[in-house]
Amino acid sequence: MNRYSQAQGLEFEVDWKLPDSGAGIITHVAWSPWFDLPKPNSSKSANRTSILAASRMDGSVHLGLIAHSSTAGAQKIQFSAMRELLPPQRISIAKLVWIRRKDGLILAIARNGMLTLSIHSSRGPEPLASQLITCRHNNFSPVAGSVPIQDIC
Amino acid sequence: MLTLAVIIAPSTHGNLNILLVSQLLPISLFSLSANNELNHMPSPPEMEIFFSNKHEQYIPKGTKGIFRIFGANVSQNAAVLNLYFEYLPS
Repeated sequence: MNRYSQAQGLEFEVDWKLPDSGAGIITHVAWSPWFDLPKPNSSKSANRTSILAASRMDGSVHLGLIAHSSTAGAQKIQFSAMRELLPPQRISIAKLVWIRRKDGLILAIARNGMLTLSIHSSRGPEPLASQLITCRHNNFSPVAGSVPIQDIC
Repeated sequence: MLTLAVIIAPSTHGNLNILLVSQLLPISLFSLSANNELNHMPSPPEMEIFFSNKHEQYIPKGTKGIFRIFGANVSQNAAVLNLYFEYLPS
């Protein structure tokens, strides 16, 4: 839903229905910085995009694409795509953080003892497509202390 | 332990440094190269000492306690690390 008034600016509201897995509680959300989409030469509209990442209690991570387009005198925001980035896992998410890199965006996904990076190119046609890299790290426990594990990256 | 803060900063070699800080203030450092190779790096000694001192300062030997980190950020040149945390004795 889009609403626009000169005094209040553009307002955007949308329902985001994640796939039903029986564990629908969202634990973390993180917005990416806005970035420009590559556009055809014939297009006169300016398109900017942001990706909303959300994790649920079941350990799954989902991405939603928010597109902001503006042509002469008209602005529009729409929720244009979504995908499940990571399926449900036993260990839930602890942190979601976006960072901008010169060739795109990176979503850092921290779980207990594990870091996953979702690397998105701003040059490709599919902003939600990404390269996933996972690395385990030292799993410090207040009971067991520091337990060295072999790095798996 | 629960990861409470993820701090990402560019390094001098064009890589991204990713620092994870957990509930009892142990840290893990990763480096992501420009061609997307992720490596687990040894933590810088000065950072180990900083967090070790904080641990000893707020959690005396023989007692238990945790840190809650509410926020973290790093300056543009990665020279200043800000942490806002609370110590909770148990």
